[in-house]
Amino acid sequence: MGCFDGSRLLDQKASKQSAESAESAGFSVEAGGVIFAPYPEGDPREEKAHELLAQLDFHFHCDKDPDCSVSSTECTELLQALKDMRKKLTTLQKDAAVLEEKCVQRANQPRKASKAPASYVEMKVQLLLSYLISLTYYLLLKVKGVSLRDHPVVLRLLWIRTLIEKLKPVDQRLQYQMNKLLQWKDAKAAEQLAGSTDAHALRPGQLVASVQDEDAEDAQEAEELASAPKDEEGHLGAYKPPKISQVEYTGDHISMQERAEKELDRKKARLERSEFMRSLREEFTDAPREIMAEERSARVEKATRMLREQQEFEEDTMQRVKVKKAELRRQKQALREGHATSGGAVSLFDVASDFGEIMRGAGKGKGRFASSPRQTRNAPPKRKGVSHL
Amino acid sequence: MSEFTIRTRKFQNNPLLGRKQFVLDVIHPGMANVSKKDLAEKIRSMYKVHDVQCIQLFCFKTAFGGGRSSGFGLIYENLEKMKKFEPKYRLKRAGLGGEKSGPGRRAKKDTKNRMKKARGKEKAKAGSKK
Repeated sequence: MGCFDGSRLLDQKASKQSAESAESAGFSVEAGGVIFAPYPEGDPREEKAHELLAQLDFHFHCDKDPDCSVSSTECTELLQALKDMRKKLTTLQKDAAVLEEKCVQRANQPRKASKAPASYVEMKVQLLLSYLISLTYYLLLKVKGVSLRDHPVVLRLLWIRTLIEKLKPVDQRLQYQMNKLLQWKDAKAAEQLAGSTDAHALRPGQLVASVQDEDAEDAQEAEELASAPKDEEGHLGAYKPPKISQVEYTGDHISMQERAEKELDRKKARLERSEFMRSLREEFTDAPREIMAEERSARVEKATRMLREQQEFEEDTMQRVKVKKAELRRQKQALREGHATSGGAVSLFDVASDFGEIMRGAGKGKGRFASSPRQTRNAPPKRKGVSHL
Repeated sequence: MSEFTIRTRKFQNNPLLGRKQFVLDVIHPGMANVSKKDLAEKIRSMYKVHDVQCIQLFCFKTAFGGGRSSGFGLIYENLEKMKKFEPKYRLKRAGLGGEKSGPGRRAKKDTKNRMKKARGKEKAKAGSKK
């Protein structure tokens, strides 16, 4: 650290003069030693600086060398330097705490190269340390009375200060993470003090939702907590819901099985009522044969019924309804078929179509009567009842 | 060949709205379809209506294959009732008006915007201006 150089003393006179001249200019390195801007007029701190100056003058007045006396600018500068030092110290303390926590974590879980906050914090800590060291050295030199005109310390101080200023926005962005980290550290410390690690207590750093049986709860929870995927800072990764075996939704009180059974029953009933089965049954019963006026398929009946209903509605309300495409198709089909069947004769058309349609409906994609994809692709647009006769 | 037969079904008297309503079946073999004017004439002679304008016919549909069409019809007691109860598009078809009254949409918006700028009693002044 600084040796008391005689030549420096002589230099000081010049430096002092230049300092005074640069008072208005304020913040300049060329002035030689004044690196903090002076306070504006009327500032309350200015008074404090004057008081300090008075005190210092009283205590350290050197009659021999008037240039040794302390000037007001230097007093203000001293105050500012001390304040700055205190600020940087607090930041350093905080960052050191964060860094410590990270090191501890890293020790626990060996990971790859450090990610965002850790390296940044390290660098920041280093910067602050060097800044503080330089600042203390600078103050020491000042106290000793050494001229700091072309001293490299000043340059170094300014350089570090600019770097710290540049880091401010980055710091702001990472502030939240660092605060959280400190919080958890405190919580952990408090917990360790308390002693018991309650498996049911809420741990902000290790939240895992687990659905387990009553028996294996504790053991399994501890296991899961240890193996939960965590980031560097202790955050959990993307939320992964707990793996429970798939169970069918029974809210509507109709399970898939029941539904399938119902479907099968319906198909059976339709088959029973169909023309095909009726004629088969006719062959084997002894009961007399019934001849009806018109033999129409159920589909045609249904379509005509719907048509009639629609007409009734229209005439009652004196308005027309928009018929959907599918509905229109069905109606046209019904009309066509209605004209085709003549009294008594049942066209094969109908019978085959009935049976074929039922079977097609029963086994979607499976069974002998199911339509193969090749067939349907080349065939014309599907119309109900069209057979390959 | 321009003969056609008319048949009315579901004939109803609607005193609330001052009219008689029915479903109209027209049989016109060989023709495309009958114009509403001709149908109205026929109905006038059938029901002895004083004013042809009081007869309204709408929603006519020709059945598949042609030769038959059906629609709805109304016979009003007088023109006042008709102007009161008929929807505007049918009045326009008949040529009896049914245009919008009052200031136009743009004019209404302009008054409203002028009133927005004013406060208190000035609003009324701004509203009535022009």
